[in-house]
Amino acid sequence: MGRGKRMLEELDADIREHIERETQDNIERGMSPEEARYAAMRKFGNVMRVKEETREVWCSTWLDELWQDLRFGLRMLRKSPAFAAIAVLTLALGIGTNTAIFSVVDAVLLRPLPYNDPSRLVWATEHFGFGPSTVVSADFPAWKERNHVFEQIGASGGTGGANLTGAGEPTRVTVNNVTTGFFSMLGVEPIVGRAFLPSEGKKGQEHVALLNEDLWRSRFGADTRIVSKAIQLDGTTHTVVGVMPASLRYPRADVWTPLALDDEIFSPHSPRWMMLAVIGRLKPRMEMRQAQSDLQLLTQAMNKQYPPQASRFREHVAVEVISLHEVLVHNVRSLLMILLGATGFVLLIACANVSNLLLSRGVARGREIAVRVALGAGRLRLVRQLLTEGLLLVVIGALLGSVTGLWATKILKELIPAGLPADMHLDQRIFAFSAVISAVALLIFGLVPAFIASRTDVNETLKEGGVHLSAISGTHRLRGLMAAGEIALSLILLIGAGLLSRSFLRLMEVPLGFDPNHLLIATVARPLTVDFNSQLHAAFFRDSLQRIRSLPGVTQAALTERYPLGPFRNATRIVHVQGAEDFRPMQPVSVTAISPDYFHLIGVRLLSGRTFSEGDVADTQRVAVLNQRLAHMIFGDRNALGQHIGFGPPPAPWSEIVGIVADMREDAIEREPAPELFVPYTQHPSFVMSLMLRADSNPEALASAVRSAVASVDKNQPVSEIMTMDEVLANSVAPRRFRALLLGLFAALALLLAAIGIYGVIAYSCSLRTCEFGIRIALGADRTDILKLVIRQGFGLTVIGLGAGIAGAIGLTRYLSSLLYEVKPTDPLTFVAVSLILSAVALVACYIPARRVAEVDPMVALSTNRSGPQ
Amino acid sequence: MSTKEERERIELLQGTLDLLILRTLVRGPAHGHAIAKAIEFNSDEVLQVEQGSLYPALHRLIKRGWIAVEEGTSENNRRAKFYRLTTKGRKQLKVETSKWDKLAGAIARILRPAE
Repeated sequence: MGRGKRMLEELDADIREHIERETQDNIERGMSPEEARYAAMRKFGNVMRVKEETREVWCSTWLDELWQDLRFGLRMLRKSPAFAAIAVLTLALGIGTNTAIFSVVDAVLLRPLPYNDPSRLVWATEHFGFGPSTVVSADFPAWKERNHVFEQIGASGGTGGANLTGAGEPTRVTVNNVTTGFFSMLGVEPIVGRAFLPSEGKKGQEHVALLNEDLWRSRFGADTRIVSKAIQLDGTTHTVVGVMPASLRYPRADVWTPLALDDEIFSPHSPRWMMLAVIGRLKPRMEMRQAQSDLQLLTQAMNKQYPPQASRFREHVAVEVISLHEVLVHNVRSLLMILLGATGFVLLIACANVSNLLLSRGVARGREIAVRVALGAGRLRLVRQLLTEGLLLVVIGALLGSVTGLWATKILKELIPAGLPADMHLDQRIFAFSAVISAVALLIFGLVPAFIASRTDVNETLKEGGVHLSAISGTHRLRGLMAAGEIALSLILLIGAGLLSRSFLRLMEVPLGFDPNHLLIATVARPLTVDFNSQLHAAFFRDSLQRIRSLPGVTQAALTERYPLGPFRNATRIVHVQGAEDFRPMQPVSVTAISPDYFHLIGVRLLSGRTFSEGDVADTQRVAVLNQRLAHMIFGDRNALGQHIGFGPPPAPWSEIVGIVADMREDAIEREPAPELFVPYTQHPSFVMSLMLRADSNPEALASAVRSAVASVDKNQPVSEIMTMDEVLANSVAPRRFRALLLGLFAALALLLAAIGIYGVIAYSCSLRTCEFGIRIALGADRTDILKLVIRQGFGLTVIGLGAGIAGAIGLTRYLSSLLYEVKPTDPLTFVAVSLILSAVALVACYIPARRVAEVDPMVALSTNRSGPQ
Repeated sequence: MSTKEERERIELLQGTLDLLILRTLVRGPAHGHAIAKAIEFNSDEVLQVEQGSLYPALHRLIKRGWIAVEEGTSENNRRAKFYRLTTKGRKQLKVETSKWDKLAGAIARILRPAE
């Protein structure tokens, strides 16, 4: 370019030189100087144009033309701001929703876990044909010592809780036990202090703790001097050795302590085992399949070591090895794919809409294009011009969409599983995705109309006064099909959203079996101290209950180990029946310790017999209450009252069945009531109990009174969690509600866009036929005939769209089936209702332009010779 | 506006000017005005070159590397810019000439098929 620049700088001088020479020549031929100069100028031609053209030689022509196209495009968009605004907003919606959902998909599914070489991290578990998938602690030493597949292997126990005292207000924290090498295996370093030493995985050395960064900041003021200080967990002193970053979300806990591998729980002969989650780092190039068979052999070899009574549950043990990432995202994968599909539909609809708009304009601009072709514009250049206009729309739309989309990601955070160490980043990946879908959108909506418009026949178009009829009829069919396609896609989304909403409504109608109004639940976990005395705990809870009962505003109060729809804290036991020792119950049964008035408080009906009384205490006959389902499961139609059952590790004393209560939804609203067994807490003391009260008005207002009531019994006792039953209910349906809302939102967007789409097609066709309708009216046609004519056209498109949409929905809704409750994926009611709604919307979208054209004055209509809407 | 004489002149086809410039420079370097004069003179004044259009063409040829430019003094001792054919330009001239011959032949055959 330097050479060109110099040449251009000298161009003026060169031209002057040239003209002077020519003038000189002319003078020599005998002209007067004035004449000679004039002739020279004329012979040279237009100096400005010469300079312009010479300059163009040096400019990069491609960029130059693009710039021209852009400027022209901007001018065209500015000339029709309504068109530009609708197109840009439509694209912004399409691109924005896709960017938002993609940023979640990227964070959850596409990004590797933020651990060292995460592809080699796997999750290994045992399946026993019943109960949760877990690894029995007694198998872990064999896995650790004798496997041939792992570079490192670590285990974590289930997350429990402990009372943190000695650092301000006593508080409940979650505690997780991990093997000492766990964090180094993940490749996560503490931000303060050090991780556990191997020696700390031995009994007697394990009283050390790593704090979660969040707890460290909130509780210890982010003080780095916390290292080597002591904290009290359930009254036991632990020395803090370090702080782990908050970004480490697996395994979730406030505090981590080491698992002592020489503990009794790691022996096959232990009276109790621990359930472990096992993570391993595969050796390089080791496959998960190999790891699985290796661990399977080790586990089967372990069977011999167990006492004979364990053989029944050991005989079908199967080991499974899956990637850690897969385990963490498993629950949301299908939901995310569904949402991505839904937003894809929204984008397609948006593209079809913009395409339609461009086609209308393309035809309307027929004259302009024809003139440009006649003046020598190349077809390719024209296509490029139209594409550039599309590019402008898409770029503005994408910018707008990305901004709103990224804002929307704040709401979408809920889609990220809590245990997944993933955050949404707005980085070049998201923008690249945005750019790619914008480009795809541009190709979809931009090329077709650009190509069609550029095929304009010059002569015909100019003759027809700007409207080329064959071009219109050709594009008209295409436009109609696109509108029908929009209806089909939005119908599929609406049906999906309808199915989810109906599931949600079905769920809200489910009789819970208890009365959730005005309930407050305060959960208190007693410290698991060395001098654990269950009767002391029972006394603590009795005292707390009494104080809460006497609080003003409390009408009733009771204790339960587990509250409906709450976390599963109590034990499950195999039940035996006295006199029917051969009876083998199908499944372990949930055993809940309660205070006598629990059923009365929560509103569960007593069907027969009695509930517990104050007389059922530790040293009287053990008693139990069954729910209806359990009574039926064990005794069928026989009378259960007075029978004796045993549960728990032998030798469990027999308990007399004194009552049968109605079933309630304990596990989840959507889960059928499970067989349940209730026992008095005085006979089966538990260290974690929920104090439940019914208030005469707003239960939330009693929260602080409950806290102080508990503290007045034991000043070191925090309340772990305090919630109203309304909150518990809301939380339990929150994911379902969120999914229904999200898909509903996308479906509503789709419906809106499709309505705009069909409106656009009908309005455009009306404006083209204004003249025709004018003639019809002038010749005596009724205005309602015109109205019918137009609406019939729109209705035809709608019917085609509905047909295609229903077919598509039947094919696609089965992917939703795992998210539905008591609603079939092909629920006829939803299909019919949604189709009716969509038809109504489509009819309104047709009616508006139809009425306008039916009311047209024939004189005005006949005098317009216009090419279409601008 | 146009005189009879001018109407008999032939407007240059696109790209033809490039060819003519290259041909003119075979005889040696020349400045802009001289090139214009030479084209006019050699075609017995049939070819009408709007002299200004020479300049975009010259710049185009420089950009393509077919001609080069050098400073010099003209016959009457004035400063002037001389354009000179490069080796690349010489080759290109051959290509263009043969293309032109083919085209001219083809057109001639179409216009006078009987002859």
